[in-house]
Amino acid sequence: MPRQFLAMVRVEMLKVYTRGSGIGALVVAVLVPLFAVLGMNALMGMQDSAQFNGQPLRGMLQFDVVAVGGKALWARNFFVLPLLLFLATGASVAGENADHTLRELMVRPVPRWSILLAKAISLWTLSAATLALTFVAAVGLGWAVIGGPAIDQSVAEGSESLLRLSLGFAASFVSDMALIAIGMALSSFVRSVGGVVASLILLLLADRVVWLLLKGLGLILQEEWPKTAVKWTLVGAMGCWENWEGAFEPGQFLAVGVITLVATAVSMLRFSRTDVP
Amino acid sequence: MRLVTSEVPALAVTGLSRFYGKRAAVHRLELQVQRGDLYGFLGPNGAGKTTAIRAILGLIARSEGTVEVFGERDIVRQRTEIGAMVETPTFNDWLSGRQNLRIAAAYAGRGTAADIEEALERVGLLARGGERVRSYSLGMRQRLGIARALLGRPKLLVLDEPTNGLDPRGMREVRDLLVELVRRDGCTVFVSSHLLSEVEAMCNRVGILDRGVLKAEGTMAQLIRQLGARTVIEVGVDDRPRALEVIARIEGATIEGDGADGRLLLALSSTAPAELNRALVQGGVAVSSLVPRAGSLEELFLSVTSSEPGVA
Repeated sequence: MPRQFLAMVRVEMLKVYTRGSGIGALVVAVLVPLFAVLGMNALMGMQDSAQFNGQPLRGMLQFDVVAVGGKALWARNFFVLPLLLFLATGASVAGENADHTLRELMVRPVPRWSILLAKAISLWTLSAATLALTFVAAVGLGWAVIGGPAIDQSVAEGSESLLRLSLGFAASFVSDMALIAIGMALSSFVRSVGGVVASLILLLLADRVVWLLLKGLGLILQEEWPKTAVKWTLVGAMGCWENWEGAFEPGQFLAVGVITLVATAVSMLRFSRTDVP
Repeated sequence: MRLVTSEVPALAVTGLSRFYGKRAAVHRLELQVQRGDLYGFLGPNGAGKTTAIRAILGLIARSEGTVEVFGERDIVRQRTEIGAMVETPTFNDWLSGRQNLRIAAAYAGRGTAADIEEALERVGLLARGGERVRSYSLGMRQRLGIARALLGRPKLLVLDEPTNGLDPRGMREVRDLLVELVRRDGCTVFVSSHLLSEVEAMCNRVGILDRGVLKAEGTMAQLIRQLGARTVIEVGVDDRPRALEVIARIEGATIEGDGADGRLLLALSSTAPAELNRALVQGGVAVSSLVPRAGSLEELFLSVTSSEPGVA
Protein backbone atom coordinates (compact mmCIF):
# COMPACT_ATOMS: atom_id res chain seq x y z
CA MET A 1 0.00 0.00 0.00
CA PRO A 2 1.53 3.39 -0.92
CA ARG A 3 2.35 5.52 2.12
CA GLN A 4 0.35 8.38 0.60
CA PHE A 5 -2.79 6.23 0.28
CA LEU A 6 -4.85 8.16 2.84
CA ALA A 7 -4.03 11.42 1.12
CA MET A 8 -5.14 9.83 -2.16
CA VAL A 9 -8.47 8.85 -0.61
CA ARG A 10 -8.93 12.36 0.76
CA VAL A 11 -8.43 14.04 -2.61
CA GLU A 12 -10.66 11.48 -4.31
CA MET A 13 -13.34 12.37 -1.75
CA LEU A 14 -12.83 16.02 -2.63
CA LYS A 15 -13.59 15.18 -6.26
CA VAL A 16 -16.50 12.83 -5.54
CA TYR A 17 -18.25 15.24 -3.16
CA THR A 18 -17.88 18.25 -5.44
CA ARG A 19 -19.03 16.64 -8.69
CA GLY A 20 -22.65 17.12 -9.80
CA SER A 21 -23.43 13.43 -9.27
CA GLY A 22 -22.07 13.52 -5.72
CA ILE A 23 -23.89 16.70 -4.77
CA GLY A 24 -27.04 15.34 -6.42
CA ALA A 25 -26.79 12.12 -4.43
CA LEU A 26 -26.52 14.04 -1.15
CA VAL A 27 -29.47 16.27 -2.04
CA VAL A 28 -31.64 13.32 -3.05
CA ALA A 29 -30.63 11.52 0.14
CA VAL A 30 -32.26 14.34 2.13
CA LEU A 31 -35.23 14.90 -0.20
CA VAL A 32 -36.28 11.25 -0.16
CA PRO A 33 -37.06 11.07 3.59
CA LEU A 34 -38.58 14.56 3.45
CA PHE A 35 -41.09 13.40 0.84
CA ALA A 36 -41.60 10.13 2.70
CA VAL A 37 -42.51 12.02 5.89
CA LEU A 38 -44.74 14.50 4.09
CA GLY A 39 -46.48 11.71 2.18
CA MET A 40 -46.96 9.62 5.27
CA ASN A 41 -48.25 12.64 7.17
CA ALA A 42 -50.77 13.36 4.43
CA LEU A 43 -51.96 9.74 4.43
CA MET A 44 -52.22 9.79 8.21
CA GLY A 45 -54.47 12.81 8.02
CA MET A 46 -56.93 11.04 5.77
CA GLN A 47 -56.60 7.51 7.05
CA ASP A 48 -60.15 7.49 8.36
CA SER A 49 -61.79 8.96 5.27
CA ALA A 50 -59.67 7.48 2.48
CA GLN A 51 -60.19 3.98 1.19
CA PHE A 52 -58.22 1.58 -0.97
CA ASN A 53 -60.09 -1.25 -2.72
CA GLY A 54 -63.08 -0.44 -0.55
CA GLN A 55 -61.08 -0.80 2.65
CA PRO A 56 -60.22 2.14 4.91
CA LEU A 57 -56.56 3.09 5.01
CA ARG A 58 -56.54 2.73 8.79
CA GLY A 59 -55.25 -0.69 9.53
CA MET A 60 -53.64 -1.08 6.11
CA LEU A 61 -50.70 1.19 6.86
CA GLN A 62 -48.57 1.61 9.91
CA PHE A 63 -47.94 5.19 10.90
CA ASP A 64 -44.76 5.46 12.91
CA VAL A 65 -41.15 6.49 12.47
CA VAL A 66 -40.01 3.00 11.46
CA ALA A 67 -42.62 2.86 8.71
CA VAL A 68 -41.42 6.25 7.46
CA GLY A 69 -37.82 5.04 7.56
CA GLY A 70 -38.78 1.90 5.66
CA LYS A 71 -40.53 3.88 2.94
CA ALA A 72 -37.56 6.25 2.73
CA LEU A 73 -35.19 3.28 2.42
CA TRP A 74 -37.31 1.78 -0.34
CA ALA A 75 -37.51 5.09 -2.20
CA ARG A 76 -33.78 5.68 -1.75
CA ASN A 77 -32.89 2.31 -3.21
CA PHE A 78 -35.54 2.33 -5.93
CA PHE A 79 -33.92 4.25 -8.76
CA VAL A 80 -32.53 7.78 -8.47
CA LEU A 81 -29.87 7.33 -5.81
CA PRO A 82 -28.40 4.10 -7.22
CA LEU A 83 -28.29 5.84 -10.59
CA LEU A 84 -26.50 8.85 -9.09
CA LEU A 85 -24.04 6.57 -7.29
CA PHE A 86 -23.46 4.76 -10.53
CA LEU A 87 -22.94 8.06 -12.35
CA ALA A 88 -20.46 9.10 -9.67
CA THR A 89 -18.59 5.82 -10.20
CA GLY A 90 -18.61 6.25 -13.98
CA ALA A 91 -17.42 9.85 -13.68
CA SER A 92 -14.66 8.83 -11.29
CA VAL A 93 -13.18 6.18 -13.57
CA ALA A 94 -14.51 6.21 -17.16
CA GLY A 95 -15.10 9.98 -17.07
CA GLU A 96 -11.56 10.67 -15.89
CA ASN A 97 -10.26 8.29 -18.53
CA ALA A 98 -12.23 10.13 -21.20
CA ASP A 99 -11.09 13.61 -20.18
CA HIS A 100 -7.53 12.35 -19.58
CA THR A 101 -7.36 13.42 -15.94
CA LEU A 102 -6.79 9.76 -15.07
CA ARG A 103 -3.54 9.96 -17.06
CA GLU A 104 -2.28 12.65 -14.70
CA LEU A 105 -2.74 10.24 -11.77
CA MET A 106 -1.11 7.37 -13.65
CA VAL A 107 2.21 9.19 -13.94
CA ARG A 108 2.46 9.35 -10.15
CA PRO A 109 4.52 6.86 -8.13
CA VAL A 110 1.64 4.64 -7.07
CA PRO A 111 0.45 1.28 -8.42
CA ARG A 112 -2.63 1.44 -10.59
CA TRP A 113 -4.68 -0.79 -8.28
CA SER A 114 -4.19 1.69 -5.46
CA ILE A 115 -5.69 4.47 -7.60
CA LEU A 116 -8.77 2.32 -8.20
CA LEU A 117 -9.00 1.40 -4.52
CA ALA A 118 -8.77 5.05 -3.45
CA LYS A 119 -11.60 5.84 -5.84
CA ALA A 120 -13.68 2.92 -4.58
CA ILE A 121 -13.25 3.96 -0.95
CA SER A 122 -14.24 7.54 -1.70
CA LEU A 123 -17.36 6.26 -3.47
CA TRP A 124 -18.16 3.97 -0.53
CA THR A 125 -18.04 6.99 1.75
CA LEU A 126 -20.51 8.75 -0.56
CA SER A 127 -22.84 5.76 -0.32
CA ALA A 128 -22.47 5.69 3.46
CA ALA A 129 -23.06 9.44 3.67
CA THR A 130 -26.26 9.23 1.64
CA LEU A 131 -27.52 6.32 3.74
CA ALA A 132 -26.70 8.15 6.97
CA LEU A 133 -28.41 11.32 5.72
CA THR A 134 -31.53 9.43 4.67
CA PHE A 135 -31.64 7.48 7.93
CA VAL A 136 -31.13 10.48 10.19
CA ALA A 137 -33.54 12.66 8.22
CA ALA A 138 -36.22 9.94 8.08
CA VAL A 139 -35.97 9.10 11.76
CA GLY A 140 -35.61 12.71 12.89
CA LEU A 141 -38.39 14.14 10.75
CA GLY A 142 -40.54 11.04 11.17
CA TRP A 143 -40.25 11.21 14.92
CA ALA A 144 -41.09 14.89 14.96
CA VAL A 145 -44.01 14.71 12.53
CA ILE A 146 -45.44 11.19 12.77
CA GLY A 147 -44.35 9.99 16.19
CA GLY A 148 -41.95 7.43 17.70
CA PRO A 149 -41.92 3.68 17.21
CA ALA A 150 -42.50 0.90 19.64
CA ILE A 151 -38.85 1.20 20.47
CA ASP A 152 -38.99 -1.35 23.24
CA GLN A 153 -39.68 -4.16 20.79
CA SER A 154 -36.86 -6.65 20.54
CA VAL A 155 -35.42 -7.77 17.20
CA ALA A 156 -36.78 -11.25 17.75
CA GLU A 157 -40.26 -10.02 18.47
CA GLY A 158 -40.85 -7.25 16.10
CA SER A 159 -39.92 -6.69 12.53
CA GLU A 160 -40.37 -2.96 12.64
CA SER A 161 -37.91 -1.76 15.16
CA LEU A 162 -35.33 0.90 14.63
CA LEU A 163 -32.66 -1.75 14.93
CA ARG A 164 -34.06 -3.71 12.01
CA LEU A 165 -34.44 -0.51 10.05
CA SER A 166 -30.81 0.38 10.63
CA LEU A 167 -29.81 -3.14 9.56
CA GLY A 168 -31.77 -2.52 6.37
CA PHE A 169 -29.71 0.61 5.79
CA ALA A 170 -26.52 -1.32 6.52
CA ALA A 171 -27.55 -4.00 4.02
CA SER A 172 -28.13 -1.25 1.47
CA PHE A 173 -24.51 -0.24 1.90
CA VAL A 174 -23.46 -3.78 0.94
CA SER A 175 -25.71 -3.53 -2.10
CA ASP A 176 -24.17 -0.14 -3.01
CA MET A 177 -20.68 -1.64 -2.77
CA ALA A 178 -21.67 -4.19 -5.40
CA LEU A 179 -23.15 -1.44 -7.58
CA ILE A 180 -19.94 0.59 -7.33
CA ALA A 181 -17.82 -2.48 -8.09
CA ILE A 182 -19.94 -3.21 -11.18
CA GLY A 183 -19.61 0.44 -12.22
CA MET A 184 -15.84 0.23 -11.92
CA ALA A 185 -15.69 -3.01 -13.87
CA LEU A 186 -17.77 -1.50 -16.69
CA SER A 187 -15.68 1.69 -16.55
CA SER A 188 -12.54 -0.31 -17.21
CA PHE A 189 -14.01 -1.42 -20.54
CA VAL A 190 -15.94 1.68 -21.61
CA ARG A 191 -14.38 5.14 -21.88
CA SER A 192 -17.33 7.43 -21.31
CA VAL A 193 -19.87 7.94 -18.55
CA GLY A 194 -22.71 7.60 -21.06
CA GLY A 195 -21.23 4.33 -22.28
CA VAL A 196 -20.98 3.03 -18.75
CA VAL A 197 -24.64 3.87 -18.04
CA ALA A 198 -25.75 2.29 -21.34
CA SER A 199 -23.73 -0.83 -20.49
CA LEU A 200 -25.34 -1.02 -17.07
CA ILE A 201 -28.82 -0.75 -18.56
CA LEU A 202 -28.03 -3.60 -20.98
CA LEU A 203 -26.52 -5.64 -18.16
CA LEU A 204 -29.55 -5.11 -15.92
CA LEU A 205 -31.93 -5.95 -18.76
CA ALA A 206 -30.07 -9.19 -19.45
CA ASP A 207 -30.02 -9.90 -15.73
CA ARG A 208 -33.75 -9.27 -15.46
CA VAL A 209 -34.41 -11.73 -18.31
CA VAL A 210 -32.37 -14.38 -16.48
CA TRP A 211 -34.19 -13.51 -13.26
CA LEU A 212 -37.58 -13.96 -14.96
CA LEU A 213 -36.51 -17.26 -16.55
CA LEU A 214 -35.35 -18.61 -13.21
CA LYS A 215 -38.54 -17.45 -11.51
CA GLY A 216 -40.58 -19.12 -14.25
CA LEU A 217 -38.57 -22.33 -14.01
CA GLY A 218 -39.06 -22.34 -10.26
CA LEU A 219 -42.82 -22.18 -10.70
CA ILE A 220 -42.94 -24.75 -13.50
CA LEU A 221 -40.48 -27.28 -12.15
CA GLN A 222 -41.36 -26.77 -8.51
CA GLU A 223 -37.72 -27.35 -7.68
CA GLU A 224 -35.43 -25.56 -5.30
CA TRP A 225 -32.42 -24.79 -7.52
CA PRO A 226 -34.06 -22.02 -9.60
CA LYS A 227 -35.04 -20.24 -6.38
CA THR A 228 -31.45 -20.49 -5.14
CA ALA A 229 -30.08 -19.36 -8.49
CA VAL A 230 -32.34 -16.27 -8.47
CA LYS A 231 -30.36 -14.99 -5.47
CA TRP A 232 -27.23 -14.99 -7.65
CA THR A 233 -28.67 -12.68 -10.26
CA LEU A 234 -27.77 -9.00 -9.84
CA VAL A 235 -31.37 -8.10 -9.06
CA GLY A 236 -31.65 -10.95 -6.58
CA ALA A 237 -28.31 -10.36 -4.86
CA MET A 238 -28.49 -6.59 -4.70
CA GLY A 239 -31.94 -6.75 -3.20
CA CYS A 240 -30.37 -8.15 -0.05
CA TRP A 241 -31.67 -5.15 1.93
CA GLU A 242 -35.31 -5.78 1.00
CA ASN A 243 -35.95 -8.33 3.73
CA TRP A 244 -35.14 -5.95 6.56
CA GLU A 245 -38.63 -6.32 7.97
CA GLY A 246 -38.39 -10.09 8.09
CA ALA A 247 -35.38 -12.35 8.07
CA PHE A 248 -32.37 -11.51 5.94
CA GLU A 249 -31.33 -14.16 3.41
CA PRO A 250 -27.68 -15.13 3.99
CA GLY A 251 -27.53 -16.48 0.43
CA GLN A 252 -28.17 -13.01 -0.97
CA PHE A 253 -25.32 -11.55 1.05
CA LEU A 254 -22.99 -14.30 -0.09
CA ALA A 255 -24.02 -13.61 -3.70
CA VAL A 256 -23.59 -9.85 -3.39
CA GLY A 257 -20.20 -10.37 -1.78
CA VAL A 258 -19.04 -12.65 -4.59
CA ILE A 259 -20.35 -10.21 -7.23
CA THR A 260 -18.46 -7.36 -5.54
CA LEU A 261 -15.24 -9.34 -5.37
CA VAL A 262 -15.44 -10.59 -8.96
CA ALA A 263 -16.30 -7.13 -10.33
CA THR A 264 -13.46 -5.58 -8.31
CA ALA A 265 -10.99 -8.21 -9.52
CA VAL A 266 -12.07 -7.70 -13.13
CA SER A 267 -11.70 -3.92 -12.91
CA MET A 268 -8.29 -4.12 -11.20
CA LEU A 269 -6.97 -6.65 -13.71
CA ARG A 270 -8.27 -4.71 -16.66
CA PHE A 271 -7.13 -1.40 -15.22
CA SER A 272 -3.58 -2.64 -14.65
CA ARG A 273 -3.19 -3.68 -18.29
CA THR A 274 -4.96 -0.90 -20.13
CA ASP A 275 -3.09 1.64 -22.22
CA VAL A 276 -3.84 5.13 -21.00
CA PRO A 277 -4.81 7.52 -23.78
CA MET B 1 24.39 24.04 -19.90
CA ARG B 2 25.12 20.57 -18.50
CA LEU B 3 26.25 20.99 -14.93
CA VAL B 4 26.36 17.63 -13.23
CA THR B 5 28.03 14.51 -14.50
CA SER B 6 27.58 11.00 -13.32
CA GLU B 7 27.98 7.53 -14.69
CA VAL B 8 24.30 6.71 -14.21
CA PRO B 9 22.25 8.65 -16.74
CA ALA B 10 19.05 10.37 -15.69
CA LEU B 11 17.16 8.51 -18.39
CA ALA B 12 18.35 5.50 -20.34
CA VAL B 13 16.07 4.05 -22.99
CA THR B 14 17.22 0.82 -24.60
CA GLY B 15 15.59 -0.83 -27.61
CA LEU B 16 12.19 0.63 -26.84
CA SER B 17 9.49 -0.33 -29.32
CA ARG B 18 5.76 -0.01 -29.39
CA PHE B 19 3.78 -1.84 -32.02
CA TYR B 20 0.14 -1.39 -32.95
CA GLY B 21 -0.48 -4.63 -34.79
CA LYS B 22 2.45 -4.90 -37.18
CA ARG B 23 2.97 -1.15 -37.35
CA ALA B 24 5.75 0.26 -35.20
CA ALA B 25 4.87 3.63 -33.71
CA VAL B 26 8.27 3.62 -32.00
CA HIS B 27 11.00 1.30 -33.18
CA ARG B 28 14.08 0.31 -31.16
CA LEU B 29 14.53 3.69 -29.59
CA GLU B 30 17.88 4.24 -27.90
CA LEU B 31 18.29 7.36 -25.78
CA GLN B 32 20.54 8.52 -23.01
CA VAL B 33 19.78 11.69 -21.16
CA GLN B 34 22.59 12.61 -18.81
CA ARG B 35 22.05 14.37 -15.51
CA GLY B 36 21.86 18.10 -16.02
CA ASP B 37 20.92 17.79 -19.68
CA LEU B 38 18.22 19.86 -21.28
CA TYR B 39 17.38 17.32 -23.94
CA GLY B 40 15.24 18.27 -26.92
CA PHE B 41 13.21 15.45 -28.41
CA LEU B 42 12.37 16.66 -31.89
CA GLY B 43 10.21 15.24 -34.61
CA PRO B 44 7.53 16.24 -37.07
CA ASN B 45 3.88 15.81 -36.14
CA GLY B 46 3.09 12.12 -35.96
CA ALA B 47 6.72 11.06 -35.62
CA GLY B 48 5.96 9.06 -32.49
CA LYS B 49 7.23 11.50 -29.86
CA THR B 50 4.17 11.29 -27.64
CA THR B 51 3.96 7.51 -28.03
CA ALA B 52 7.61 7.26 -27.00
CA ILE B 53 7.02 9.50 -23.97
CA ARG B 54 3.96 7.49 -22.97
CA ALA B 55 5.94 4.28 -23.23
CA ILE B 56 8.81 5.80 -21.22
CA LEU B 57 6.36 6.86 -18.49
CA GLY B 58 4.60 3.49 -18.53
CA LEU B 59 1.25 4.89 -19.60
CA ILE B 60 1.19 2.40 -22.45
CA ALA B 61 2.72 -1.04 -22.56
CA ARG B 62 6.13 -1.39 -24.15
CA SER B 63 6.30 -4.04 -26.85
CA GLU B 64 10.01 -4.40 -26.16
CA GLY B 65 12.88 -2.56 -24.56
CA THR B 66 13.75 -1.15 -21.17
CA VAL B 67 13.69 2.23 -19.47
CA GLU B 68 15.89 3.20 -16.55
CA VAL B 69 15.51 6.39 -14.56
CA PHE B 70 18.60 7.15 -12.49
CA GLY B 71 19.37 3.44 -12.76
CA GLU B 72 15.97 2.40 -11.44
CA ARG B 73 13.98 -0.11 -13.50
CA ASP B 74 10.84 -0.43 -11.37
CA ILE B 75 8.24 1.70 -13.04
CA VAL B 76 6.52 2.89 -9.84
CA ARG B 77 9.79 3.78 -8.10
CA GLN B 78 10.99 5.53 -11.26
CA ARG B 79 8.11 7.95 -10.99
CA THR B 80 9.22 9.21 -7.58
CA GLU B 81 11.96 11.08 -9.48
CA ILE B 82 9.85 12.22 -12.43
CA GLY B 83 7.61 15.19 -12.98
CA ALA B 84 5.69 14.78 -16.22
CA MET B 85 3.37 16.59 -18.54
CA VAL B 86 1.98 14.60 -21.46
CA GLU B 87 0.31 16.45 -24.33
CA THR B 88 -2.24 19.10 -23.36
CA PRO B 89 -2.53 18.99 -19.57
CA THR B 90 -5.98 18.14 -18.26
CA PHE B 91 -7.58 19.08 -14.97
CA ASN B 92 -10.67 18.66 -12.88
CA ASP B 93 -12.20 21.80 -14.33
CA TRP B 94 -14.67 22.50 -11.56
CA LEU B 95 -11.89 22.67 -8.96
CA SER B 96 -9.41 25.49 -8.52
CA GLY B 97 -5.87 25.41 -9.83
CA ARG B 98 -4.64 25.10 -6.26
CA GLN B 99 -6.97 22.17 -5.54
CA ASN B 100 -5.77 20.43 -8.70
CA LEU B 101 -2.20 20.78 -7.53
CA ARG B 102 -3.26 19.43 -4.15
CA ILE B 103 -4.57 16.31 -5.89
CA ALA B 104 -1.31 15.88 -7.77
CA ALA B 105 0.72 16.40 -4.60
CA ALA B 106 -1.33 13.80 -2.74
CA TYR B 107 -0.75 11.20 -5.43
CA ALA B 108 2.91 12.10 -5.77
CA GLY B 109 3.42 11.70 -2.04
CA ARG B 110 5.44 14.90 -2.08
CA GLY B 111 4.68 18.55 -2.31
CA THR B 112 3.54 20.53 0.71
CA ALA B 113 1.17 23.49 0.70
CA ALA B 114 4.25 25.72 0.49
CA ASP B 115 5.49 23.75 -2.53
CA ILE B 116 2.13 24.27 -4.22
CA GLU B 117 2.38 28.02 -3.68
CA GLU B 118 5.96 28.04 -4.96
CA ALA B 119 4.99 26.08 -8.08
CA LEU B 120 2.12 28.49 -8.75
CA GLU B 121 4.43 31.45 -8.29
CA ARG B 122 7.04 30.00 -10.65
CA VAL B 123 4.53 29.82 -13.49
CA GLY B 124 2.92 33.15 -12.67
CA LEU B 125 -0.39 31.79 -11.43
CA LEU B 126 -0.17 32.60 -7.74
CA ALA B 127 -2.83 35.30 -7.91
CA ARG B 128 -5.28 33.12 -9.82
CA GLY B 129 -4.60 29.80 -8.12
CA GLY B 130 -7.90 29.99 -6.26
CA GLU B 131 -10.01 30.32 -9.39
CA ARG B 132 -11.69 27.39 -11.05
CA VAL B 133 -9.66 25.88 -13.85
CA ARG B 134 -12.79 26.16 -16.01
CA SER B 135 -12.10 29.89 -16.23
CA TYR B 136 -8.44 29.45 -17.28
CA SER B 137 -7.21 30.17 -20.79
CA LEU B 138 -5.29 27.55 -22.75
CA GLY B 139 -2.02 29.24 -21.85
CA MET B 140 -2.90 29.29 -18.15
CA ARG B 141 -3.74 25.60 -18.26
CA GLN B 142 -0.40 24.93 -19.88
CA ARG B 143 1.33 26.87 -17.11
CA LEU B 144 -0.64 24.99 -14.46
CA GLY B 145 0.40 21.74 -16.11
CA ILE B 146 4.03 22.77 -15.80
CA ALA B 147 3.45 23.77 -12.17
CA ARG B 148 2.01 20.31 -11.55
CA ALA B 149 5.05 18.67 -13.11
CA LEU B 150 7.33 20.81 -10.92
CA LEU B 151 5.63 19.82 -7.65
CA GLY B 152 7.94 18.28 -5.11
CA ARG B 153 11.06 19.21 -7.08
CA PRO B 154 11.49 16.14 -9.30
CA LYS B 155 14.99 15.31 -10.52
CA LEU B 156 13.78 14.57 -14.03
CA LEU B 157 11.17 16.57 -15.89
CA VAL B 158 9.51 14.96 -18.90
CA LEU B 159 7.52 17.53 -20.83
CA ASP B 160 5.61 16.89 -24.02
CA GLU B 161 5.24 20.07 -26.09
CA PRO B 162 5.16 22.36 -23.03
CA THR B 163 4.77 25.58 -24.99
CA ASN B 164 1.68 24.52 -26.92
CA GLY B 165 -0.98 27.19 -26.72
CA LEU B 166 1.33 29.82 -25.27
CA ASP B 167 1.84 33.24 -26.80
CA PRO B 168 5.42 34.29 -27.71
CA ARG B 169 5.98 35.86 -24.29
CA GLY B 170 4.68 32.75 -22.57
CA MET B 171 6.89 30.53 -24.72
CA ARG B 172 9.89 32.62 -23.80
CA GLU B 173 9.01 32.43 -20.11
CA VAL B 174 8.69 28.65 -20.22
CA ARG B 175 12.01 28.35 -22.03
CA ASP B 176 13.66 30.58 -19.42
CA LEU B 177 12.04 28.56 -16.64
CA LEU B 178 13.38 25.27 -18.03
CA VAL B 179 16.86 26.69 -18.42
CA GLU B 180 16.67 28.01 -14.87
CA LEU B 181 15.54 24.62 -13.57
CA VAL B 182 18.60 23.02 -15.10
CA ARG B 183 21.05 25.75 -14.09
CA ARG B 184 19.77 26.65 -10.64
CA ASP B 185 18.09 23.48 -9.42
CA GLY B 186 20.24 20.87 -11.15
CA CYS B 187 17.13 19.34 -12.70
CA THR B 188 17.34 17.22 -15.85
CA VAL B 189 14.78 18.12 -18.50
CA PHE B 190 13.56 15.97 -21.38
CA VAL B 191 11.35 18.08 -23.58
CA SER B 192 9.61 17.13 -26.80
CA SER B 193 8.77 19.70 -29.41
CA HIS B 194 8.22 20.19 -33.08
CA LEU B 195 9.42 23.79 -32.80
CA LEU B 196 13.01 23.78 -33.95
CA SER B 197 13.79 27.31 -32.87
CA GLU B 198 12.61 26.51 -29.36
CA VAL B 199 14.83 23.46 -29.06
CA GLU B 200 17.76 25.22 -30.68
CA ALA B 201 17.42 28.09 -28.23
CA MET B 202 17.46 26.09 -25.02
CA CYS B 203 18.65 22.50 -25.42
CA ASN B 204 22.21 21.23 -25.16
CA ARG B 205 21.36 17.80 -26.60
CA VAL B 206 18.89 16.85 -29.26
CA GLY B 207 17.35 13.67 -30.61
CA ILE B 208 15.39 13.70 -33.86
CA LEU B 209 12.65 11.12 -34.25
CA ASP B 210 10.98 10.34 -37.55
CA ARG B 211 8.40 7.64 -38.19
CA GLY B 212 9.18 6.06 -34.85
CA VAL B 213 12.91 5.82 -35.47
CA LEU B 214 15.62 7.99 -33.92
CA LYS B 215 17.39 9.48 -36.93
CA ALA B 216 19.99 11.65 -35.24
CA GLU B 217 21.18 12.33 -31.72
CA GLY B 218 23.90 14.39 -30.13
CA THR B 219 24.89 17.83 -28.96
CA MET B 220 24.00 20.72 -31.22
CA ALA B 221 27.62 20.96 -32.42
CA GLN B 222 27.72 17.23 -33.22
CA LEU B 223 24.50 17.39 -35.15
CA ILE B 224 25.52 20.39 -37.20
CA ARG B 225 28.72 18.58 -38.12
CA GLN B 226 26.57 15.72 -39.41
CA LEU B 227 25.40 18.08 -42.13
CA GLY B 228 28.72 17.28 -43.79
CA ALA B 229 30.28 19.24 -46.63
CA ARG B 230 27.00 20.65 -47.79
CA THR B 231 27.13 24.46 -47.91
CA VAL B 232 24.07 26.60 -47.72
CA ILE B 233 24.34 30.09 -49.13
CA GLU B 234 22.10 33.06 -49.70
CA VAL B 235 22.66 34.92 -52.97
CA GLY B 236 21.47 38.44 -53.74
CA VAL B 237 20.94 39.05 -57.48
CA ASP B 238 19.51 41.83 -59.66
CA ASP B 239 17.72 39.54 -62.16
CA ARG B 240 16.04 36.67 -60.37
CA PRO B 241 14.54 34.81 -63.39
CA ARG B 242 17.84 34.95 -65.24
CA ALA B 243 19.70 33.80 -62.12
CA LEU B 244 17.39 30.80 -61.77
CA GLU B 245 18.13 29.81 -65.37
CA VAL B 246 21.88 30.03 -64.79
CA ILE B 247 21.77 28.13 -61.49
CA ALA B 248 19.73 25.34 -63.06
CA ARG B 249 22.70 24.68 -65.36
CA ILE B 250 25.28 24.51 -62.55
CA GLU B 251 26.05 20.98 -61.37
CA GLY B 252 26.02 20.63 -57.59
CA ALA B 253 23.85 23.67 -56.92
CA THR B 254 20.27 23.25 -55.71
CA ILE B 255 17.71 25.94 -55.13
CA GLU B 256 16.28 25.43 -51.62
CA GLY B 257 13.90 28.38 -51.55
CA ASP B 258 13.96 31.99 -50.47
CA GLY B 259 16.48 33.49 -48.11
CA ALA B 260 16.25 36.76 -46.23
CA ASP B 261 15.62 40.09 -48.01
CA GLY B 262 14.60 38.48 -51.30
CA ARG B 263 17.83 36.55 -51.65
CA LEU B 264 17.93 33.07 -53.16
CA LEU B 265 18.69 30.15 -50.84
CA LEU B 266 21.02 27.62 -52.44
CA ALA B 267 22.65 24.39 -51.31
CA LEU B 268 26.05 23.71 -52.81
CA SER B 269 27.54 20.25 -52.73
CA SER B 270 30.27 19.96 -55.40
CA THR B 271 30.45 23.65 -56.29
CA ALA B 272 32.30 26.33 -54.40
CA PRO B 273 30.65 29.73 -53.77
CA ALA B 274 33.31 31.39 -55.91
CA GLU B 275 32.41 29.17 -58.89
CA LEU B 276 28.77 30.01 -58.37
CA ASN B 277 29.60 33.71 -58.37
CA ARG B 278 31.65 33.39 -61.57
CA ALA B 279 28.91 31.42 -63.33
CA LEU B 280 26.28 33.98 -62.41
CA VAL B 281 28.37 36.95 -63.55
CA GLN B 282 29.27 35.20 -66.79
CA GLY B 283 25.56 34.51 -67.27
CA GLY B 284 24.85 38.24 -67.07
CA VAL B 285 23.55 38.33 -63.54
CA ALA B 286 24.88 40.97 -61.16
CA VAL B 287 25.57 39.45 -57.72
CA SER B 288 25.04 41.89 -54.85
CA SER B 289 25.75 39.50 -51.98
CA LEU B 290 26.89 35.99 -51.19
CA VAL B 291 26.04 35.12 -47.57
CA PRO B 292 27.05 31.70 -46.28
CA ARG B 293 24.49 30.42 -43.79
CA ALA B 294 25.66 28.54 -40.73
CA GLY B 295 24.41 24.96 -40.54
CA SER B 296 21.17 25.03 -38.61
CA LEU B 297 19.08 22.50 -36.78
CA GLU B 298 16.35 23.16 -39.29
CA GLU B 299 18.55 21.97 -42.16
CA LEU B 300 19.45 18.83 -40.28
CA PHE B 301 15.83 18.27 -39.32
CA LEU B 302 14.69 18.60 -42.91
CA SER B 303 17.46 16.36 -44.18
CA VAL B 304 16.76 13.46 -41.78
CA THR B 305 12.98 13.55 -41.54
CA SER B 306 10.51 12.37 -44.12
CA SER B 307 8.15 14.79 -45.79
CA GLU B 308 5.42 12.15 -45.79
CA PRO B 309 2.84 12.02 -43.02
CA GLY B 310 3.98 10.25 -39.87
CA VAL B 311 2.74 7.02 -38.42
CA ALA B 312 1.72 7.89 -34.90
